[in-house]
Amino acid sequence: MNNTLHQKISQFLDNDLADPEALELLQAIHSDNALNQTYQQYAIISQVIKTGDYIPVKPDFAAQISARIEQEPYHFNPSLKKSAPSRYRWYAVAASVLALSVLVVHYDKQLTPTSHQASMLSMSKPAPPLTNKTASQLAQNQSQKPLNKRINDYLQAHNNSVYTSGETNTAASLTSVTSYNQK
Amino acid sequence: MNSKTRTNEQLDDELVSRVQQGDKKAYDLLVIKYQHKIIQLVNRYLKDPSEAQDVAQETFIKAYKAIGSFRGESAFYTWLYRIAINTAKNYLLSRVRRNTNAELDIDDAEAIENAPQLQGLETPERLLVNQDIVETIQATIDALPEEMRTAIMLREFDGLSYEEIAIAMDCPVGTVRSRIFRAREAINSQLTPLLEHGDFR
Repeated sequence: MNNTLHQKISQFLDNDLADPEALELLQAIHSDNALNQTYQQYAIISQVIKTGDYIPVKPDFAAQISARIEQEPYHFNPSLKKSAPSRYRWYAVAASVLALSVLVVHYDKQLTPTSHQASMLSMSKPAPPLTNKTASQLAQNQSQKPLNKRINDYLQAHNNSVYTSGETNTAASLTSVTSYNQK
Repeated sequence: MNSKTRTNEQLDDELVSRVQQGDKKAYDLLVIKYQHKIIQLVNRYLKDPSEAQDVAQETFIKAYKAIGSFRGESAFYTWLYRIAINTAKNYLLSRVRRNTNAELDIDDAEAIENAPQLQGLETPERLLVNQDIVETIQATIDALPEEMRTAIMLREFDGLSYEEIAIAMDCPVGTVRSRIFRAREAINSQLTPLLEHGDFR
């Protein structure tokens, strides 16, 4: 058994051991002092043949590092899992942009509601009976006044009572609305 | 890149990945695997085995602290090698500063590396042990049967792979594997008594 493990150490030092076996051997060296000693001595032999020099290694060299590492906090971000958060980050950016654009559109609508309302009103409601004076005044001021003001003027000039009293012909107004829409 | 190098790097990648996920024991295995290489490398700068071990330990601690940022763009050993060189150079500079209080930068470490008067001095006792060990190993190699001696020298001294040695010696790879192992065992049996009486072992 020992001979087999020693031969594996020899192969490991020469990069001749497959991954699973090498991992198994390293774990055995880590947990078995006698095996660790053999590994250290084989490494010394190798070193002396290559360099003609002997550099001793403290028996507890790895253990001291291990003890110091135990005191270190674990604060790594595993590199293998880096790709997943970055994908989610892009989703988050895309969602933020979408939300922002919705807000901008909504805000824009709030800023110019009257233009929309105006077109809706003109399409859905019959043309009100205006007096000549009022119509000419509106036409005159149309290009000068702001849209809000124009709508307010329009609504004030519009007399709702004509519909309830039946004084106006609604069908004729609808016809004019249809023709306006087509135009 | 040959298949053996690939195998080596795959094992390192596996261990690094485990460390990055919080397995500190996996880092112990990387230390066991590379301790000799790193100590030798650092000793080439410091010329003092005792200090070389301290600096090598610092190298491994620094590497552990930085391993979260290791992305595998280079081999783990290449990355560790760079940390070791920088740690050794910084140590050399601090040693010189302690002695001279001079203003130096990291480029000066190259010059210091080659200045014998600034290198660490080994004790006569250590030099004697060192010499004894080297001579024992060399004497044992000389006494080995020729095919074992040739196999281990081609491997260690010339850096040939098992396959290349098999071609050179005209024998199967399994025979090469066995000859090298038996050579190591023979040398180890002579080395063990010496190391048991040494400073570190």
